[in-house]
Amino acid sequence: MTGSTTLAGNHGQQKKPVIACFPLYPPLELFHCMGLNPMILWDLKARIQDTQESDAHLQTFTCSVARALTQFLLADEAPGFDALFMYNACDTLRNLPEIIQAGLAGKGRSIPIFRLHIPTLALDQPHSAEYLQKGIKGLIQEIEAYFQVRFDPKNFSSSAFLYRHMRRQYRQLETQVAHGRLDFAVFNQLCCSGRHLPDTRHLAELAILAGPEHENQNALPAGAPQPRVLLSGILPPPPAVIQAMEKTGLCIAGNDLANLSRSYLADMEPLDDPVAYYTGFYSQHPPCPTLLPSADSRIPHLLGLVHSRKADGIIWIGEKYCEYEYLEMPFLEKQLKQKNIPLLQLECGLDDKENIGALKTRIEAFAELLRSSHGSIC
Amino acid sequence: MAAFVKTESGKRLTDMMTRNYFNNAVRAQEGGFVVWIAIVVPAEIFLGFENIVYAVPESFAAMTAARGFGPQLCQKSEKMGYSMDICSYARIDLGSGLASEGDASALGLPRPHLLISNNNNCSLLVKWFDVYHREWGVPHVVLDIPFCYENQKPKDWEYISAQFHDLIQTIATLSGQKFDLDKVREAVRYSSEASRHWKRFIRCAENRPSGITAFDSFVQMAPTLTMRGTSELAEHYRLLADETEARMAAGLFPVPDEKYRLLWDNIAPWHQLRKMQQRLAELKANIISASYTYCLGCLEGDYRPTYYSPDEDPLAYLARIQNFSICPQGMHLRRQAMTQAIERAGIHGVVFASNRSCKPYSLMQMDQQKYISQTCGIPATMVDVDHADVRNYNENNVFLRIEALLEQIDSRSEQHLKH
Ligand code: SF4
Ligand code: SF4
Repeated sequence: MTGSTTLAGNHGQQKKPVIACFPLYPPLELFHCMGLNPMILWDLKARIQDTQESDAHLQTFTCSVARALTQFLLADEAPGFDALFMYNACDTLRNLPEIIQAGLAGKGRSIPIFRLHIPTLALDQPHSAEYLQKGIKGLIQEIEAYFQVRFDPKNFSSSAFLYRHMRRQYRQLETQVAHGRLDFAVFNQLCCSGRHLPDTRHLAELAILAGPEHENQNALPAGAPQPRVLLSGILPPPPAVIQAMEKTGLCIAGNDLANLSRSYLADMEPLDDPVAYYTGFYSQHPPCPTLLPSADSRIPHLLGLVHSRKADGIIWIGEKYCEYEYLEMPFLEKQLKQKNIPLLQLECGLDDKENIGALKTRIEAFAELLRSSHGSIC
Repeated sequence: MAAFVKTESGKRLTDMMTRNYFNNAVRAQEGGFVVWIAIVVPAEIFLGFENIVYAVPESFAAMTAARGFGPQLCQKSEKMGYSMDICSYARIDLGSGLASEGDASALGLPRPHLLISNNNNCSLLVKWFDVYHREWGVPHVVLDIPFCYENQKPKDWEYISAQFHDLIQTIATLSGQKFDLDKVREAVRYSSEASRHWKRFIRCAENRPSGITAFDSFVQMAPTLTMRGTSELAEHYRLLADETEARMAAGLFPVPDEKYRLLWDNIAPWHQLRKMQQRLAELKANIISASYTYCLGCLEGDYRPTYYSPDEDPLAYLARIQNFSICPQGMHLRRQAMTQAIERAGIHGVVFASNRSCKPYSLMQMDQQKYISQTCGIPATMVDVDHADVRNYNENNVFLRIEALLEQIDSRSEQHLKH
């Protein structure tokens, strides 16, 4: 069996009930403080062997994220999660809870699914703030009733503290990558394997890697010898593509990837009130096409990253069939062009292994382009 | 097989739609406040203002596709960088809207002062309208309508109602126009009346042979999107239902030798309407019903319609019926309604049109197909159709599957006879 037990085993706290969450920005602290092991189910491509189960439920024009997730959960060897949690993010995902439930029922299995609708209006409006409040309170009640646990504000604050610590460590590690002291692939792997659970083993791993470095993006050496790129998109590219980037001498100076910086850039002050905490968390969240109110700030955010990471160009990793990202790209491209920031658009899907050769060639050409204009940008 | 006949209602529809289109253009030119809306946005609210012109890009895209211009406009947007994997409505509309930069030409929709989308039909619409918001600097209001996996909850209803009140404020501020709730009340009454006649028209499918084809309903639904809340719409649907009933009484049926009664699940194949209808009729098959059109006016998993009663608060009612079409309904709710439709109309087989352009509609059909075959005991097939981009459509493949479905229906009825 390939990944599922490993994934569950990563937590090292099997006695706690595991709540598997999707997509990427669930209220982890809340589950954690109530004695659950929250685990984010994301980027499961490497953990599935085929898509047989998913293919019985989802058409092939579904993005790889949803197909891999469905496959992972419906496979016979799927780990025995105690519950699933999902919040609204995109049209593809909104259909999944019922599809997964139907698939499990077909196998004589069942699992409770908790849901939360995160308002897609700015949370500074009274109605949306109130709606989120009701949603969080309702979720707490449901978790309490189902798992027979109690919510305690103090525990919440401690969990929030732990997650903040972990996110900070990720940011330190990103600095190491930008300095060329840590492979991006290793960093990505580490973030993925942690699945955002601050268990002690994972935190220790992070601390060792982060070393004595302090987070200080502005201290990055100007005019570094290698062209520096920023990766943007929902998922990082497959390992072979990352290797190709690093082999051509590109330095991955930063990222705007959903599973990386979009997940760890928010630096929330620990609070004991989950409503106030998540109102802040979702309001200040780094922009992501799945968080609709954040859409307008994506371009300034990206430009800010280009500036702070001293990036020479951006490589956008398009997730095949993800209309959310696709609809943002042309305008983004136009804006970057106006600012003279080179952009390479790649597309990856479930069958990307077959396209690696073509992707490599385009990466090499892009690296050449950056080299030839190096120093004249930013 | 009956030849294709343009009914009186068909002619009136063409007139109405054309008039509405030109009126909108003229009113916009003369200073009307123009809003572009997603189809589920409650258009009745706009009728409460003095002079709001509302346009519906989805409907525009559907009509463009039906006229055969879909691929042309899709290609335009693809050249601008919009992926072929994006919904073809969005590509058609962006191809038309962005290509006409700065000019409100008679070929497109009048340029908007405000964009209003919502996320229950689909969230893609929000991203699509966001493109105009950024390109043109037009404000964009998003109505956040929690997706309905089950019947609407009170907290959802309160949340939606509150947003409608905010929307009215926003429009009043931006347009400088006054709002009159009584006018909305009247508009809601007309919509409800239109819905009542629409149901009468849809029920003509229950007759054997069916008095309509689903293709008639696809064409006739257009003013539900663009003229909701008007007396003209209510009157049109009254005449449509009357005419259809009268034709049935006179023994006039679209497929008089109808042998196979089918149900269609997904958006209309706009580029194929007449062609598909005729080819099916040659096989003595009629797609008599479609989830896309029987759902209009029904709520959450119910095939039966919901009506407005005059003592209700119209805004509260509009908030309650935000899930009046199928896309915002989850799989279990859709199943309930589909099962009722199958039973009432005596459906022999279901065609699930898997549509790569519309993920919210399509990404549950594989489970629906299994469920319907098992629980309703009728065969079902799945065909690949893109509702507006004919480049993603293969007629032969589709008909191979439909013919196989008809054979399955035959063999089931033979078995049935044997027992
Ligand atoms: S990759 Fe895009 S389509 Fe897929 S789950 Fe994420 S947001 Fe949805
Ligand atoms: S066709 Fe589907 S994806 Fe396209 S706008 Fe309509 S509901 Fe959304």
